[in-house]
Amino acid sequence: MKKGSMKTVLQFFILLCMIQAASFGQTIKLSGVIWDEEGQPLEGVVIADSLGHVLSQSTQNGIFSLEIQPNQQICFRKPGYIDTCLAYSDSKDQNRIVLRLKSTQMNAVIVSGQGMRIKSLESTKVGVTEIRVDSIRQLPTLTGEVDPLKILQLTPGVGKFDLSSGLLVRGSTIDQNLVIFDEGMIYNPTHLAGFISMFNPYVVEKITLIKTGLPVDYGGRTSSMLLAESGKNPSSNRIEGNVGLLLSNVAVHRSLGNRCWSTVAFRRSYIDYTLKPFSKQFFPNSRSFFQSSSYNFYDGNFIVNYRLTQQDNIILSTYLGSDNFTLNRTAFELKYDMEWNNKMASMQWTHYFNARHISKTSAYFTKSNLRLFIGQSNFNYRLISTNEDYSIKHEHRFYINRFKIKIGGQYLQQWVIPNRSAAVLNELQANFGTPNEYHLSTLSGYAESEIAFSNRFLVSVGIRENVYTHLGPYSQFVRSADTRVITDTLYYPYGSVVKKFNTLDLQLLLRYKIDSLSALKLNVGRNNQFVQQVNVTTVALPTDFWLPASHQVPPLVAQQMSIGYYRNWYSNINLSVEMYYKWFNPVIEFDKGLLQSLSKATMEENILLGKGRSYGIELYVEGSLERWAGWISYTLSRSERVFAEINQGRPFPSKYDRLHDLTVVLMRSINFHWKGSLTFTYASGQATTLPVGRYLVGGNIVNQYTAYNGFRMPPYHRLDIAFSRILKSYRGMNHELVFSIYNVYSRLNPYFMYYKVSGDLKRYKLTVTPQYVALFPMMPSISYRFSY
Amino acid sequence: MRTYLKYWTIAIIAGLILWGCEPAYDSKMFTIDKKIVVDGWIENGRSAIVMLTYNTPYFGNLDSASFRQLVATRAKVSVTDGVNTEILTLTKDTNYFPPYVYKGYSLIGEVGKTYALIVEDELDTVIAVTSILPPVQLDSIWFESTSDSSGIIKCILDDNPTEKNYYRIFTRIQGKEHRFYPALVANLNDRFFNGQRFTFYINKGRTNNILPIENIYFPKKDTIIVRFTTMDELAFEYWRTYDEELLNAGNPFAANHLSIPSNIQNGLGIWCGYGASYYRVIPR
Repeated sequence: MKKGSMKTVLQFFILLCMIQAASFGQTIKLSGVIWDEEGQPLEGVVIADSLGHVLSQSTQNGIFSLEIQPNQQICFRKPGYIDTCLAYSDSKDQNRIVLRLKSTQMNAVIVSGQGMRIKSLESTKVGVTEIRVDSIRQLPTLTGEVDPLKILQLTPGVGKFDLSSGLLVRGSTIDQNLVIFDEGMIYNPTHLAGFISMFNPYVVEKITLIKTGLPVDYGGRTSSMLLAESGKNPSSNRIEGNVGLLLSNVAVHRSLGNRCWSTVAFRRSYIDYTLKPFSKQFFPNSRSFFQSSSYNFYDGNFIVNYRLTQQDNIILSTYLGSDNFTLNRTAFELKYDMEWNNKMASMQWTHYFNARHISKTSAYFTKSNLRLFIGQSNFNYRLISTNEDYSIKHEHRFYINRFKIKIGGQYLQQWVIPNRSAAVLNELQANFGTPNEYHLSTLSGYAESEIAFSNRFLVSVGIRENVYTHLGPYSQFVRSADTRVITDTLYYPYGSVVKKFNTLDLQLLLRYKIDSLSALKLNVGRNNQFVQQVNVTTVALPTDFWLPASHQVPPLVAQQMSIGYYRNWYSNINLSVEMYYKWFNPVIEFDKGLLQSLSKATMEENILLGKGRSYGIELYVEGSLERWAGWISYTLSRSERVFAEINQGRPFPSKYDRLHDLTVVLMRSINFHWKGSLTFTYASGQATTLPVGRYLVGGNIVNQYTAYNGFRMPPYHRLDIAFSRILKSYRGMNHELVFSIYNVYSRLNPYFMYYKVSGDLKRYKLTVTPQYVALFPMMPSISYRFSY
Repeated sequence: MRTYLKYWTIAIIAGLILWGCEPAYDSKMFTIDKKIVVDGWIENGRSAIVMLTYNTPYFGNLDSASFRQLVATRAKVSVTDGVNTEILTLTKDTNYFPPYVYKGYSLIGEVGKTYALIVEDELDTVIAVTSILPPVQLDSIWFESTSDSSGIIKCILDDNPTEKNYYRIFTRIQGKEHRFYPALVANLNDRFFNGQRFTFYINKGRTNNILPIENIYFPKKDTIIVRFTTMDELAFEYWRTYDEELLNAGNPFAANHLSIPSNIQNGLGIWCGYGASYYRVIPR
């Protein structure tokens, strides 16, 4: 070859390489919104390359954006939908991708979908547990019906207690957790003091628990947030339900025109009718407590999902739940009636300006009400406790390249009657002091910004300012310092300011992606809470009332730090390790029992203020392999309190402190007809105060107690199993029978301890033996589930 | 009235938990500091009465031998009003339990005075102070039948609006009982009826907290003596917490497990001054 032509070829080759190199360096940008066939945005859609490596996922409003190579094939995937694969040669935004549904199969083993795995790596969220109700339907149950709240107790950081009327997260008390259902707040998310939750498994599609404090677009609580959402994408008109031994449940999903969907659901218990006839068998010699008492509950949901225009979507969600307990002992002329109910109505309106700008307006009304009546011959006692809230919120979200910005404001109006009593003995009306009710208003503004500094490093900063005002009418007693006798009453008229607090909530999150399969995250935050629940008994009951911040009770401030490490393996196994440290100030305790409080003029005067802290480490492994799926969760934690007036000012473990908490959940698809599942839980014993000594006064034996919560009860452990048998489809109706056994080896986990004293002092014989009360022995159940 | 409520609420709720299952438990021994327990009082027109015992670890059995060890019979017990002092004499009196009582004879309680109790024992020395408040008279008191053979006692009280009054009610069935027992709902705090004309019932209380509640009504054929007393706030707090503890211990819905606030320095128990007025009720 001639030297000159070699040089030309070389130059040409280099030029070609350079062009190639230049085009290799070039990436194209894609963004848009992913919809389903009904025009609803789809979140959690995974965007993967041809090798299955995940590149991105769609956000809550169906928005996605990513950078890829030109002509690289990418696939849009979501469980239950048919994959859509495309290749782009050039940058394009405003893409509109529509995914079509696969036909649903009830007998598929669906566990942690890919969506869950990717979320934990991509997002900045630390301490988030997400449960899709579909994936947990086959787990063992207590009542025959799967309960999302009970399943949450099987995940790390969530305390497991047989009867607790709410969530206990990372050493918190029940009132420190915000429960939101369809953007509406719920005060009491359980029935029968925690036996079953308000979440109907045929209405609620997804539950997300954020354990590291509240994100700034929500406020008013300090520990965690539970976000429950109803199904946004119903696949077709259907009726589904569950018929069990203790309760039944029916949900109807129907389209009303081609842009509107509705869900109507109703549940009711009939424990009285099924258990009462059996109670005679089990308690033949008892004083028939069962015969004279009755308990039932019902709840209902009505949800409408309306796509007003291509850019507007409205969801209306309503909930009503009611519990009733009565006791009638004619021998003593005693009548006891306790009724509590929860109502909620919410509206959400999402407006899509374009693929980069969305606004969301939501409003809710929630009311929680307790009514107690005790009558004995001519003595009557009534108690009411009410909470009523109205809220409106408006926010804008912007998605601009590496930035995600959220700005919004919320106005909340609350009316609280903590505890209003009235007692009448013949003609005389007892004077319980001025009943107080509270009128509160909270105005908040927030802003959150998420910045992707690089592909690896993501930072999110959020800030929320709250202005909380306690308004009149309100009466405040002034006591003289020495005699403690009330000398004056300050009266605040309607609308005047009794007390005002101006607080700041902060959230800082950092995510560092070590490689495509593992990430490290850090979260630091601070939240304020204005209304706290006062626990007047040693167990959580609906009689525990809410007390707002005012002169005597300041707002609760909680600060927390958590750090987490997350790792995924291709064979569908995920691991997460999280450590947290929280501290709260002030926490409140009620001074002595409820019934002793009546010597003080107002409820607030019975409150003691102290400090608390909790810290721990959570390990979590989940995965699915062929026909097996499940998870293991282990938490090691401590939760402490310090009060000057309790335990001589020395720190003591909180009521919910449990050192070890282990759960193992396994699910298996045995064959085409049968599925099985198993859960095993183990937790350290609860702390309680125990008598250590006795002495004689007034001819009676009286107790001397340990340090406050100075004794540990025996550990709690239990095994549950369930089997479901898919029955032959009949005319398009899918149905199955579920057999479940709660507490298979019938361990009588102690719930409370008391002591039986027997003997006769006069004969110098006395025996005291400790007795435990356990709640649930082995409880089998059968239920029939259908979907048509 | 609220103690009625308390009583019934607890009774119901105790029933609620008692049908739960009860597993076995292996007991543990706790070590406690041994302390002197004082159960003593003085009232207007009468001399002091004091019973002394020691506390004991919680679990286990007690029989006659170990009981005897619990009673402090070698202490020097003195009562003083600041001017006069009397050393009480140990006597055996089977009307009380334990039947060893330190009794006074010369120092008689007077309204308005403060009395200090000093106990010098081989274990320790304890001191307590109380005062006798003026007794309050009931406006009227009478018996009301609830059945053919029994009934309750009804009272009307005109409460003084300028004072904070704390009342405790005792009854004794003449001929059948040899000491006063607190009524079923024994403690009244005038906070709920300050300055009002207050009507209340007296039901028969328990003789001790080990035996189940026998009968809350008084028999028609017997005469009942009612001892209506006043006391200071510290003593009232003691008795109120004491009654709560007797009722609530064992009830998860009400028990708060706080030891009873004693007014005995360095010890346990109560030294109480009563301003007492007596009434004889003869059912007809």
